Amino acid sequence: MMVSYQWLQTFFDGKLPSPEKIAEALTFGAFEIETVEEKNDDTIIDVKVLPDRACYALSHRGIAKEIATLCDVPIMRDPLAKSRPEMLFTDRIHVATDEKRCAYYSAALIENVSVAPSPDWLRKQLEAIGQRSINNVVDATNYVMNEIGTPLHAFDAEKMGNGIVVRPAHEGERITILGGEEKVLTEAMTVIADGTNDVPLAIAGVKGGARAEVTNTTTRVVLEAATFHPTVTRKTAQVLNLRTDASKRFENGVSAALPLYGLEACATLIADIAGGKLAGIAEAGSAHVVAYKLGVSVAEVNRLLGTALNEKEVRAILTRLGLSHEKVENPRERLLEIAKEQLGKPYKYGASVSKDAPDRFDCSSFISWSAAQVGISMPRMVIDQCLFTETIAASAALPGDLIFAVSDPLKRKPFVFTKHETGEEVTHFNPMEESQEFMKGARIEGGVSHDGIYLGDGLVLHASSQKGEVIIENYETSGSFQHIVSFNRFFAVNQERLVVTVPPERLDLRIPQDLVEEIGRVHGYEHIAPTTLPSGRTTIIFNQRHRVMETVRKTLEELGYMEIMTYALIGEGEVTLANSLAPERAHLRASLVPAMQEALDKNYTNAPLLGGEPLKLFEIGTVFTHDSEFLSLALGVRAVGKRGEEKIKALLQEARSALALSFGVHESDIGAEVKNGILTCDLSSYVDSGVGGYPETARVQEVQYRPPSVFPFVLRDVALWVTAASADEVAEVIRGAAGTLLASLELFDTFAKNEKTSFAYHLVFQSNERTLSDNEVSEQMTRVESALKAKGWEIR
Amino acid sequence: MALYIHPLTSAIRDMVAIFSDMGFSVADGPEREDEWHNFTALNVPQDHPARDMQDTFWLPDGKVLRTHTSPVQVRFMETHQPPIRIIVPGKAFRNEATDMTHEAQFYQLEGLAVDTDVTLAHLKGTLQRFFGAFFGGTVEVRLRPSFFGFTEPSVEVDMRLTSESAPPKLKDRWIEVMGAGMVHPKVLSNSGVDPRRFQGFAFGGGIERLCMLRWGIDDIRLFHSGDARLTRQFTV
Repeated sequence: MMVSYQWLQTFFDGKLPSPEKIAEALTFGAFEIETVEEKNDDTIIDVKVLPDRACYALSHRGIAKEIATLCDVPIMRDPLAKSRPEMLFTDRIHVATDEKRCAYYSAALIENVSVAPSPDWLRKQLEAIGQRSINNVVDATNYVMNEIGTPLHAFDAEKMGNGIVVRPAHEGERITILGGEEKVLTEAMTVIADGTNDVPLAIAGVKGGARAEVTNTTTRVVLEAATFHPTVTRKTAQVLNLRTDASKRFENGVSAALPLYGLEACATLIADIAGGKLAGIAEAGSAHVVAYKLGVSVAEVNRLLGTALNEKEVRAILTRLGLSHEKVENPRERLLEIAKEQLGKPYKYGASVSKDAPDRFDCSSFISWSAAQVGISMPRMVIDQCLFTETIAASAALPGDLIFAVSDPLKRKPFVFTKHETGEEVTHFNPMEESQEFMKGARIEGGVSHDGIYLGDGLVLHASSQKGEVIIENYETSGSFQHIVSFNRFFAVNQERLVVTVPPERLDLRIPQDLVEEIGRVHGYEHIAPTTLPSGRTTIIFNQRHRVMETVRKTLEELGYMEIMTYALIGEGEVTLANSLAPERAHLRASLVPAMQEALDKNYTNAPLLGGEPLKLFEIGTVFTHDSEFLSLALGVRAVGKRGEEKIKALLQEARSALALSFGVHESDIGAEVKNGILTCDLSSYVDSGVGGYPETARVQEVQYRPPSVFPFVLRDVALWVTAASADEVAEVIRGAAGTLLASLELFDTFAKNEKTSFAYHLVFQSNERTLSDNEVSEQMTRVESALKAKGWEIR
Repeated sequence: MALYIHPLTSAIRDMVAIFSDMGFSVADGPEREDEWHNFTALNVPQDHPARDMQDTFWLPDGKVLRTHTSPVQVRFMETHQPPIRIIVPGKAFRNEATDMTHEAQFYQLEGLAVDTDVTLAHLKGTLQRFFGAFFGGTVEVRLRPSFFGFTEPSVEVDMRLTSESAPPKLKDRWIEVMGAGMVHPKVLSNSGVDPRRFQGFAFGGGIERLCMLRWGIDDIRLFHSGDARLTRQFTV
């Protein structure tokens, strides 16, 4: 997101630290910074906001909050700090929403508007962050979105009726969007439709339609602010290939608390710059958000970060973060107090903790909400609550412990549950036997369907479906606790905790670890001291696959083979990708042979650079059949000329014998030659069997790496007689004389006669910058020969 | 006689040796992976923006070419209880255009340590020791906030070589090398490990990139090109 330094400054009274300082503080405390660029009299910081923090940080206000926290400077103007805006309602517009697609929809009617170009300050401000100025009304919506993060849209009220309906699109429904392009919609998408004639006016959360576009002649405006469903918005934008500033925000979730702030700010701005008078607003769905409570103990913070923070330090950091919090010294007692205060609250099966509490409860939302108030995070469903807490003996139960019970398994009741991450609705049936959210695969045989808080003296406090409210009764006579499953205890229920009230826009703070991250990053990761893991906690388990690969590699490396690696995606194979980059990379390889064939051809042209003939290569890699994958080996040998084929046969035979020896199997078990010079072997049977550690293998240390050249090489030979000099000494002299153009030096022939030895070398010359001329190479050779002669050696 | 060793092979040997000194075992898993292990179990739900962070090769049966080696975390925890220390040097795939620093197929070094008391400070210490041994000399490690579905807190890992002997191009320069964090409790519970008792760190980074830094290789595409002129230079 493009952030304007001047814009950020408007949130503060004091002068902000320099843009560079801010960028640094954000880099180490919150976000990656892509660029910092001066633009006219402003500086634009491109902040990479990742999906978790998008809910609050895709806005100047959000970034300003981060700066306030990380630079420890007080924010003076926080548009979200005041209480929820009170706006007058009007019956001159009506809105209705499908709450599954849009939980909250609000619209404001503004009249007597004069649409015109934006004032300079607004045009400049939007242009500075890379937005195009359209007109004062549209710019106002854009400005407010970039200010507080909630997207807005303006319709021309004259071009529509007085009602708005948020509904699923009809299959095949068409809409012309702003800019003139026509889009065809599906039922999975949501539209904003004209309530009087059902004509679509906008693709919800993605793009406005041309029909009710605000133009120079517009005088009445309907302003929209809403919370469109994240997943629906995301899929729509993907399918239509229309990722907009609005859709990016909705797909990450926008708190239902935000639209009204946006509506008010935008209506005020429009009144200011385009005249107009707010006639009032209409709303549908619920903007009510239950304050989310989250708790951690100081010990838990230190346990995860490896720090030694004290309570004062942790609380100071929470305060810097703007997270209001209280210390709960005895969670068990406080839980009992809070839970008892709910006596008489009505029962609602499937009550939502985030929307209905604390006005309505079912048994487990009652437990979940009550525990959250004292900083204990609990799963939402009874089965998970039972698995999440620790089972204790009935005789050990104390007030503040839990009682779990099961109802008649024959009377199964559907339970609709909305997944927190995606908003997806899932239907389960009570009583449940298997963990839904907490621990995959964990079960309670016979199931569990109800829970309550034990009060001592045989009394239980619970949200009772039978009595329709939160009640206290004797569990032995209660109809809800006829079949008790277990008595359980909250983890760390006696440990004091800091309980944070999460600001509504911070949808990213949902589990205690989220709070630990906040504390860690503000404390500064640089203050976490590197610590060594304790030894002796684990013993090494040898990995079969690694052992097999290493055994093959060692065997072949010692025979002078060079390992290559090639692509798993090739032009042929049993499995075709559903989305490929290109036809020649559209299939999973079913064999290493085609790539080995190609590698032999390609590398053979470079043979002089690779030590000459024979060329010996191998590859180990996964190959794929239509339903499985296994580890395979391919060996490739290339030699031509006199007795080339014989050489190949002998070399492959040598490799086979060596591999057979390494694995302790018969040679016939080591694959087969499939075509001239290529042998392939399925290694899966070795992976599945065999024991032991890894073989001792060689590792490379220092390398003077030289990128392979695209220019042709030139091959020259030199042969000489020496007395009492080793091949290495001679090679040293050649290298010294030939200089950096010598790409490869290979001793290819040695023989002794009387006291003299003959060495013959291939010299390969190549440049990384140009094609070498014959003259240039001859000069190098003259230099080499002179150097050899100077040693008293005789050139043959 | 000279041995020629592919740089990725040599680097992985170093990694296995360095980490095995710290009690880490090698683990592996399939390259063709199901959605559960590659995404969902790792707390990257379907249709969540976090999935956009990794461009994916999809197969007709709904499986994927694993986009990271992290699914092996889940697979290992499904069959082993803590204390756990593993590394996964394995291949991963991303559906993206290639250039000198991006490749559709690459090796990743995954690490996972889970116990009752493994902390972010241990992550820092473990990586510092690894980079020091891998690059030779003294190394500083720096963490910056980040986001991954499978860790909370999540961090980017930078390192800086500070020895006199460090290659001039790398010496005293901060370089981003990995993503890491504390394993998300949801990943633990999805894998059958009790998040109330156990916690741990995880990290993952490209092995090619570490090789490129260490040996001055300038083009990532060479590693999987089948060009033996690369291997030929890595000799002992």
